[in-house]
Amino acid sequence: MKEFIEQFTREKLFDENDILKLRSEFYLVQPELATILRKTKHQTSFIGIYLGKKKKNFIPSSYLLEKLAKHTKNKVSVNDKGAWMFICGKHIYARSITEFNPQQKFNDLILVLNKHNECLGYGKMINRFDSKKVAVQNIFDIGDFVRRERKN
Amino acid sequence: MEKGMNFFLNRYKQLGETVKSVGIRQTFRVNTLNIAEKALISRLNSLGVEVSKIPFNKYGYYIDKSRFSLGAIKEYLLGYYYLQGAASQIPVEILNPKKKELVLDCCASPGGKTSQISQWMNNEGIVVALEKQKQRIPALKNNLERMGCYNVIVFHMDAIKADRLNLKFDKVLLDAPCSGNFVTEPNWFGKHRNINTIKNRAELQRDLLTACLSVLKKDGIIVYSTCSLEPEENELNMQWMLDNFKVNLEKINIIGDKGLTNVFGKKLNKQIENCKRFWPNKTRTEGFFVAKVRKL
Repeated sequence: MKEFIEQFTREKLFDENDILKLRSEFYLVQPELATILRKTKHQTSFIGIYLGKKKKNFIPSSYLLEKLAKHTKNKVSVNDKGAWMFICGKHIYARSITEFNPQQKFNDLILVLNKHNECLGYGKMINRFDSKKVAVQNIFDIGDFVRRERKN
Repeated sequence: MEKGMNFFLNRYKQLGETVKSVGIRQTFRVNTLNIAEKALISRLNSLGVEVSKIPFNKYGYYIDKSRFSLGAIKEYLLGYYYLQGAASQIPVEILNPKKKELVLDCCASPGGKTSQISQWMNNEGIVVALEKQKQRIPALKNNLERMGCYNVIVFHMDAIKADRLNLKFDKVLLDAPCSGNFVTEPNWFGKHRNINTIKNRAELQRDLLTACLSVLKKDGIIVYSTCSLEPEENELNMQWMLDNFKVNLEKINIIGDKGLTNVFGKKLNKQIENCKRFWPNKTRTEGFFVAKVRKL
């Protein structure tokens, strides 16, 4: 998780003492919840703020993405059509991008925001933002909630 | 064997109700943890979705018109609302969990009511959510993440064993596993449902009520609800509670009929009138029963 966050910001977002790792999942645990967990002496399945999961790659939670969006310049804003395509799992064409950071480099990880500044996921810059090609390759988007529901 | 549509419809008639099937409207609850109510309604309107307020829910809306499903759009994915029946929003409204309280949600998955409890508490205090079936936990976690719930601990545990947590709760929600009702299940009157399956459910519900009372603080509240219309799972369970524990049934001020106090000729405690029974043809909701129990 730490390496994932560092690709967006060098700022320290969380106190590491407040982070609990449950199998492959990371949680930010407030002291009151930690106290309850200690009292129960039981294994929990979910506690506090879910931050993400380490599979082959790290899969961030929607909370972590929103948090990162406030602390990074690695982000683009997209129009409605681009936003819709992105949450359907598609890549972002340069023409859908309405705002970007001109200092962004190829292979940078980039958050994708809609016109309301809501973070919809993230991807990798693979082409220039003024090209006619796919500029951001989708790695993770919030449409995953529905895909997960279908899997369950 | 006592089963089949005629058997159950006759029972409802004996309870004073000629029950007909009704179409119920799709509804949702605005999640004020993630968005202001007005802002969401305005966004849905701008997408061409027409909604109207449910008069008896705090944050509930009917979906009057929509060209697309509201179960996959961006606003749904961002956890701005939860698709939740009008009646099923009521138990948490009655429980009225407050900031700083320790609340137990006994049969939590898929998390509609758990996330509603978090919303009422504004993510302060603690919600302990129990789910017995392991395969239902991913859906619960998924919904807690989507809805921005930060004060919840989930345990894979049968609520009957809740005392093993070594905790005493201010409030408990027991939305009990039940036989369901014919409005939400098209084949409800099918061959597998009979009076014995109803009685088995009622027995399990009593075990759960006993477990809930054992982990509830004195003067604490249990809200008990089912989406069943069968008195064995509702009023008769409440009578059993009054007979066996030091509890009171508190008055609920919301739509719906009073709890029945004459069930198939058996006279029940007058306090049971304080419960609410939702006959679908009257409330235009799924069938439902809710009781507010105070431990003395």
